[in-house]
Amino acid sequence: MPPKPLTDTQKHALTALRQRMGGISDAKKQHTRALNAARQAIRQALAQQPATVPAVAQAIHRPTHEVLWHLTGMRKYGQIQEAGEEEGYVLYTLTPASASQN
Amino acid sequence: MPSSDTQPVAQPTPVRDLRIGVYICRCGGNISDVVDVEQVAQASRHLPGVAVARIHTFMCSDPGQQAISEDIQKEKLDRVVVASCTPFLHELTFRGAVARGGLNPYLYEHVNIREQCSWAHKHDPAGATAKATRLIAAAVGKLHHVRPLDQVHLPNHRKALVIGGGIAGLKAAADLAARGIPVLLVEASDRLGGRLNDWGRVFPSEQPARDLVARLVDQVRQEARIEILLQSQLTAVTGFIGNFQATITGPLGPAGQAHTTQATVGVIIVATGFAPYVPRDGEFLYRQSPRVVTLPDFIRGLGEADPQAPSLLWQGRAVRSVAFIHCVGSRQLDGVHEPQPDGRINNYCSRVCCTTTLQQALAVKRQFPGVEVFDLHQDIRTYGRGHEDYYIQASQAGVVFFRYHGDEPPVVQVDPADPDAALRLQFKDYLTWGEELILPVDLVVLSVGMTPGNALVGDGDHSLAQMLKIPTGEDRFYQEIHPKLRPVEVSVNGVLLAGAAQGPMNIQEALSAAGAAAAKASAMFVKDDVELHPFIAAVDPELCEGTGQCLTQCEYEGALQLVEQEIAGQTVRRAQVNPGLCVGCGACAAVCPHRAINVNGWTVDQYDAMVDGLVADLAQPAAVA
Amino acid sequence: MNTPQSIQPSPNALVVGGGIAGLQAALDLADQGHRVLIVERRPSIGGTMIGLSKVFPTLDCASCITTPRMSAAAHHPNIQILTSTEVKAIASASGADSGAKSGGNSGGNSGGNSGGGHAVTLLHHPTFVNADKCIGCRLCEYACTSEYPDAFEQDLGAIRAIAVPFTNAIPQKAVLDPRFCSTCGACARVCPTDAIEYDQQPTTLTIQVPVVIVASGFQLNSLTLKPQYHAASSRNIISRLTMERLFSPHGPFGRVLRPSDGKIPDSVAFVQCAGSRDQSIGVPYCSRVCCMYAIKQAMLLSGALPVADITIYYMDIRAFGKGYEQFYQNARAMGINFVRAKVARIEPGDHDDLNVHIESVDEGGPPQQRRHDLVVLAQGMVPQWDPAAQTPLQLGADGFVAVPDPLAPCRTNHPGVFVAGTAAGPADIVDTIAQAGAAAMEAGRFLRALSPAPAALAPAPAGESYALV
Repeated sequence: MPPKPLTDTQKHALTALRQRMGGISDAKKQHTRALNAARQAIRQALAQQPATVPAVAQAIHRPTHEVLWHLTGMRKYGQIQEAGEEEGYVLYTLTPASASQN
Repeated sequence: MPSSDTQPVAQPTPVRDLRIGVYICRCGGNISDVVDVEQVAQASRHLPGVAVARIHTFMCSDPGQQAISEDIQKEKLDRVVVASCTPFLHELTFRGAVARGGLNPYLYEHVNIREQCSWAHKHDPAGATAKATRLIAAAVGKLHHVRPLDQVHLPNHRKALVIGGGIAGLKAAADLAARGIPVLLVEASDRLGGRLNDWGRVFPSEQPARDLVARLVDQVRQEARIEILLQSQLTAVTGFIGNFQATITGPLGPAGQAHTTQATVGVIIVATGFAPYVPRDGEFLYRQSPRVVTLPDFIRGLGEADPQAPSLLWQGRAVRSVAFIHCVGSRQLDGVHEPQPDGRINNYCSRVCCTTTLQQALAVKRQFPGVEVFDLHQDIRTYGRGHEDYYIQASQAGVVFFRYHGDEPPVVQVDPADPDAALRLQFKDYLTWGEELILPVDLVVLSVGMTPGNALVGDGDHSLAQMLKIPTGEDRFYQEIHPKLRPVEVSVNGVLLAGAAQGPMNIQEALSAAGAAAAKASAMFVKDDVELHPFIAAVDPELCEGTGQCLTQCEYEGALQLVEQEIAGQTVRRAQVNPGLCVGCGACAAVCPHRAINVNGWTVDQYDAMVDGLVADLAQPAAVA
Repeated sequence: MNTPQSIQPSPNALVVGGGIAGLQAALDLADQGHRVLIVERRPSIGGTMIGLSKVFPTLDCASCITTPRMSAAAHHPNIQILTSTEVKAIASASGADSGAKSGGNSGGNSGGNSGGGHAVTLLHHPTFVNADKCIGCRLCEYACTSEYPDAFEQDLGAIRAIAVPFTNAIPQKAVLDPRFCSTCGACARVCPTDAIEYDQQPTTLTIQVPVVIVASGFQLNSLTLKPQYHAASSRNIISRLTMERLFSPHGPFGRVLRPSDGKIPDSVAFVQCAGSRDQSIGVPYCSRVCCMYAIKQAMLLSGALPVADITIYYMDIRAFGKGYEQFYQNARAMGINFVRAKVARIEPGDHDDLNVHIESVDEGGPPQQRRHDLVVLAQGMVPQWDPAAQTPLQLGADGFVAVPDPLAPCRTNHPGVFVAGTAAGPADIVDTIAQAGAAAMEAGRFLRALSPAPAALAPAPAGESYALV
């Protein structure tokens, strides 16, 4: 089913909710920007070949723990999967579905 | 006797034109990491009668169950298979889901592809997948021969028999009576209260045990709904849940005859408690030196000691030093400890002795500050609420702790040069890195553990297990069905456990267990009748020729009999099943030459169909047998 | 599952907390014919237990024990469940205190009043999803682009601003977390049943109920409570509940990896009594389950990582329950290293490793330093909820709900209010379940004393719902 447009009622409710939350905070905006940038970078890093957390971290210049966290989310939502092990680390690769979107 | 409408009657099979739903669980990877569930689902779709085959991450979850109920409606399913974990966990869950979909809950087959496939064949995914497929094929085959079944309904006698008048039995009786349920309380000794009568103060409240007992006994004695039989034992029991006939034998009367009481009860609560471990003669010099005593002996002695006395006296002799040795008769190791008379070792922890020991050690220090107190333990297990305080306070009060290893128990010796001198306690202390120590002590207290015991009831306790068919564990305590799912129930319907008969417990834990048992019993009496599963023997009167061979195999007294019936003007003898007593073991079905007696839900025809399903060529859709 | 608008009036009992204690107490009370309302602050019932991997000493999978209970409660004709709902106050209706006597022969605090009992004030948080319409299809979750650390995964995994809380959550309904939502509207655009309601408001309601069972559970005290362990400076010092999630097949990583860099650990240490049995941190008591879960986790680890070194640093192994000692001896036989030692401090080392400084008790000798790449701290159990401010309940010196009568381990100081599980002090699952049964029995006695007519399995009366404040 394709996404449908929001109704006016929904739009009003959404605006009201945004106001109740005191608007979208800078921290939230920052988090979203960083999230999108990191995910994009990780997808690019994995597009060539499977890689471990330290390898991805080195490639995208982000700390290993942060890369691992992003990978958990990408794994949960079906964007990456395991592809073996290398020197005590797990290799991750894009899922076929995710790779085809690249 | 069951009325005619509860008398099971076998039904013809097979059924044709079925719409069967097959549901395959991933178990969050527990199954699908090994078994190729997609392939299993695909193969299942080719089985005869299968209309739907679906996969779910957790079939037992709400949406998983809902998928079944909804499919029954939408897809007009009339039979259901779930392939998941052991039926022990979830067969009832899915029967419920099937019933919510509007189908008879027994038009359901459970296939175990976790324990029997993914776990058993972890390193053979292809084999595990093939086995899962064949097990489902067997279940589907069986479903072609399955008919709706109804639960057996039996009258429920609203009365409980509580065996044991200790703290757990008293509590269970008081709870049930307060809910309006009559109770027959049977106690083997001549007084209520059990072991607490002889105890000092209870931890952590430090109230005198006898005060607690007195309060509970008062409650029980004032309850008109509780009938108390002292010096009495259960000597015979027949029947089943809702309908036990118990015979209780009392003390001998003046004429030398025992008084017996008959009672019909719906439920039996076993609260026979524990007995302290009795060391073997010579174990730590027990019974060989008067200065080696058990913890219960010591508690009694200390309770009788004159609180004003300047020093601790034991059997008239001044005691300047006491050593407590933990884990006597508990935590025993193979090859280190001598087995018990039954050949087993007591490899369990008795749970209460650590705190009791420290409570007593502290009591000695407080009452007689001049007495040296030593504590020899493996681990200090003051786990419960308020227990650790005893450890802290005992340390502060100057109790000296030593730690021995389980495979090097301390040795108690009499000084060969002077038998009247202090005992010598020899051990390696691992608080000082294994230093070999010899301590002279005037009194050695053995912190004995708990055993299921039969001191109060003689051999009665053993026969109780036999009479009621309660299984026991490796530790000889009564064994519950599952420690978390069904913690106070045993495998015999209507028999519940309360307190330390099930395993070592302290007072509060025994009270809780008794409350939990009472809650189960109370729930059972909410309904006027007892519902039992229908998997019991059923006779096809058309096929039965009254050979009586089934009776020769039946081990359950009264479950099966031959009765005279009028059939076509002739008086013939036919087998008849008592649904309350039949356990559905199937011994009868195995010997019937005419397949006239079968276990509902597990008929010989159904087994045939399962075998056919197992061996069928799965590539070729099989015809319905 | 219920919303404040749909719950039926006049339950006989309100259970605070939908963890294993609350579920068991509710089931045992409902089975006795009483109508029970379970109130759970989180969006799913299941409590701590549903987040565990396998449970000692039988090594059953925790889900397999918990989901049937969750499901049974959700489907029980006598049980209603309100999730995302907090208890704000418990007040006694007039006369409840004065008419009650504790102790005595009638089963203790069964005097009580015959009327309202307790007025319980509840705050239901909006989930922004109409629970009646949501079918749990997760299309909203897949459409959402806001991802944040997932508290259910101890912050190691990720969850979206709108999501079904976890795989086997009950109810299986999406919940929108306004802390994470960017108000983009994507969820409403894809929802097939138009269940998204951005205008939901918090709801306060007050319920009159004769009996309350407090089953509010525990939390772990802070990982950083002992500065000498330096947990604040290493991601590889983790809590035991985090370790549970690492074992879960649908946990954050799907396997055991260390959080700093995803390395498959080859040397794991368990440091016991890292938040209990220590007067200096205000937790002098034993947390009762840490020994057994460490042994269990060590056993699971040796299965998951057969070549890893696994060490448990302890002072006393408290394997006291049925089958526990045998479980402990099996673990020793499996080759788990049990080292009786004091852990003086833990220092972050090279390559994200940790250096554990110990003084061995058994071996003696000078202090040693041992390298591990993952350390699990046995934090202590402390109460999840402090009811003292909002309710008439008294607490013990340990902060847990007090149970003054040694003959009634589930009875609080307040008539008609009972306690089950870890709200009354650390307890393992087996003991919690027994206590919950006992609490249900006490509650049943109390209700029976109020109204001696035998309870029947009657459906709750239909009719007016609560006035919403």
